[in-house]
Amino acid sequence: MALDDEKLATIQIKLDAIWKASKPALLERLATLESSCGEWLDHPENEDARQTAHDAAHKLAGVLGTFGLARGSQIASEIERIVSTPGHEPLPQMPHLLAELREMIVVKQ
Amino acid sequence: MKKRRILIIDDEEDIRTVTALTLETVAEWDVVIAINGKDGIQRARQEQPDAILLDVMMPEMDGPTTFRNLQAIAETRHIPVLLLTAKVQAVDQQRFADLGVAGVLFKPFDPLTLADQIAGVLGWNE
Repeated sequence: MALDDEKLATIQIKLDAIWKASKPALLERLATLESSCGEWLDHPENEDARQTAHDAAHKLAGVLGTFGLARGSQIASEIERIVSTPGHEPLPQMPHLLAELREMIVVKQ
Repeated sequence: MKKRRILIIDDEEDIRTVTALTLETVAEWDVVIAINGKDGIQRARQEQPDAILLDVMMPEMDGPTTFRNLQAIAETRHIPVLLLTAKVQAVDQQRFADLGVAGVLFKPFDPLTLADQIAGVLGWNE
């Protein structure tokens, strides 16, 4: 479908506005992911924490790339993969992945 | 030519907003919104859209269950359904394909090309 410059500019302005409006909720979801992952790192037997982390990571993976944060979706997908298996041991790189994800979301205007 | 009408069923507000924006602006389709599976079934019956874009992971009634319910209703079973999912594992993809949906699209999507993807799967470009 043809997209002229004017239409493209209109879409970009609206996408930026949607990002600004969505950012607080995404940061809240990130906080849920961080706390549930933290709980799971401390208590790998905690199934509720694992499931909460899984759902938060899944939602972030699905949306961040749509706002141009492709790497954010990749990181969230990686976290989702790690927490997808009940009984799976938390991996040591989890805190680093979470920190990178936070930095990415916070920085984007 | 009659303007296309598409129903978006997604529990995520940001995804609904971006999807509606792109389909209305890029493709100039009419967009109908539903916030969960139950609402989506009701809207599908009332609005008779040309297609349904259905999120997979939703609370209470997930996408596959919503699809099966749509298939069980005479007024909605003819409407093509595209699943929208962030699940990329092969086992999930096969499970979705086995449902009999018209197609599966993946999140995150590019807002600028989503309409083309939908039109391509549904043969609306021909």
